Amino acid sequence: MLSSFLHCGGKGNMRFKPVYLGEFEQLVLLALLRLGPNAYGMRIRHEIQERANRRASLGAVYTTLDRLEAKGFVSSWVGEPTPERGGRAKKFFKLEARGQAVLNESIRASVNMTAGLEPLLGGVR
Amino acid sequence: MPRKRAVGKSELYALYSGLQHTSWNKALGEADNLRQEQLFVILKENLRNRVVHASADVNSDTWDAVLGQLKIDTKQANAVVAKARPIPPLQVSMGVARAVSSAVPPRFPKFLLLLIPKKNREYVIGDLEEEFHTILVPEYGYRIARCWYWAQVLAAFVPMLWDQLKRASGLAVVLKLLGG
Repeated sequence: MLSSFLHCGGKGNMRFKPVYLGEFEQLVLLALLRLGPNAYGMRIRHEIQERANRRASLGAVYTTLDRLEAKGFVSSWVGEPTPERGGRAKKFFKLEARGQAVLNESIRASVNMTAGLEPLLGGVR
Repeated sequence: MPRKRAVGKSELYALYSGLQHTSWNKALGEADNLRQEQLFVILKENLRNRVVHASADVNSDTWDAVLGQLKIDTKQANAVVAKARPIPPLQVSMGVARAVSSAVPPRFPKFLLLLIPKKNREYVIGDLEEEFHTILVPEYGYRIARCWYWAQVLAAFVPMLWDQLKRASGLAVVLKLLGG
């Protein structure tokens, strides 16, 4: 539980602030989890589009990934340039332990909130 | 089921003429133990680079033509080809065939992409180009791929620019304070 709290504040002002994931952030982290070591911008966007049926621009995906990286939830590395990309490199992303913990918390919260509401949600779990 | 037709020799030459001789020679030089299929995989990789993401197979006549065109050591390559099984002729969709010689992403949106933050610029352009060449052009044709590219550039450009503006103007801090 502690892992889903970010330490903030300056020296002598130690306090913890809870971290919540936005819906799109959650989708991006789940896509990273699914894609494993092959997660890069285009594939993440496709994964979200195919599974969540949600259109997302590359700009939105990269902006979200930058934000998640700044929070320490994901890490990135640059791959080899490939010809089909006009000789440009790919930037791969990986879910970090901290991101995994926050994602778990977020999913748990959703599951807890929907428990017992299946009839009202039309069978959606 | 998309309509398919065989691609003519002139179209193939148009494709192959842009390939780098050095990379081909290198690929074939290392090909002693490769099967024909593997050579065709190399060929397809090169084609993809040029334009086509074709589920393309090439027959041996075409292969010889390619080798001749590229002035490659045909003796060595033919020895590999002779061992391999016959492969059906190259078939690509009409859309791909039309797009073969001209499919490059439009220039102006690419220029717009130079305005997005440097941090992710290369990766965004690379992702868009990969999708353009490997999915859009083969499946939908060049015209739709161009429209898609435009839309994607604008969709990528706006949130990134907005993010930059927020940071530059300190708006991000204000919004964070307001939003908690």
